[in-house]
Amino acid sequence: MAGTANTFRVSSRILGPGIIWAGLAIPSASARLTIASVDSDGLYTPDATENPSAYALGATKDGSVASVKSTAQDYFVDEILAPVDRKLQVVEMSIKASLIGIADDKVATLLTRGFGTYATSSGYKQTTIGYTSDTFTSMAIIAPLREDSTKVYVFHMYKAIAEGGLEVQFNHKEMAAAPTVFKGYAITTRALTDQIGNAWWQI
Amino acid sequence: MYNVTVESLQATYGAKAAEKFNEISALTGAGVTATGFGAVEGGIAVTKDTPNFAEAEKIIKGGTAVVNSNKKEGN
Repeated sequence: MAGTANTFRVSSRILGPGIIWAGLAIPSASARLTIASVDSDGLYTPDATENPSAYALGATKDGSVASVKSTAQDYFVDEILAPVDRKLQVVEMSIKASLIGIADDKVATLLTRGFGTYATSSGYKQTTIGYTSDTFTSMAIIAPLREDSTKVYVFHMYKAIAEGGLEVQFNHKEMAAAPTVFKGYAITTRALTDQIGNAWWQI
Repeated sequence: MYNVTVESLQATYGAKAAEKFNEISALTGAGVTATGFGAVEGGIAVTKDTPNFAEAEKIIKGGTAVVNSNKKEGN
């Protein structure tokens, strides 16, 4: 009998850091975010022509976490101990990070979508808290790959918004940051297989 | 490649810019709308790989989309 080749796939991993971007353009069906060449920090960024409204959310306190969670309903029959079938109930995409640039107008606005109204004039920038309509944005994390750092991994949510409000830590021992979760929503008129976002890498 | 927003279409289409944006969105499969429930800031990225690129580009450049141009009349 012949053996089967093993691989540990250690080079098929992501190199940090990943930079979070918002204000991205929505890719058309079966397309992906266009990545530009490397910037002065050695990081790959969204193409500026296709994404003129894009902006980076800046540094995070301890990196970011991208997740896709699915919840399925298992079905049982009395005669069999294990579930015999399942049906998908929920799929959720999110990006979690503690942002440090909370006194930045773009970040402050993004973190208070749905309840904050930004304004500025001579001597101040402010967010008044009340009710406003939700404004969704297209967001992605872009990070280089270990195997080839000129290639990137992209986790993209087409329609996202910060959830859970604004919580800022004020203390002298640690760096002030706002722990935030950005949640992805479906664009219902897109193809069923491609409504919430995509996770892809360059080859 | 193009970034299409309502603002970018306004110079060409004026008050009909939102309608044209929605037309491009539907053609390319982006699925967002100019305003209301389906709206997402940032616009639509349109490249040569985009579905119906030729039709979308025609609208972006100010022409009228030609859909099913090979279809013969009366068939």
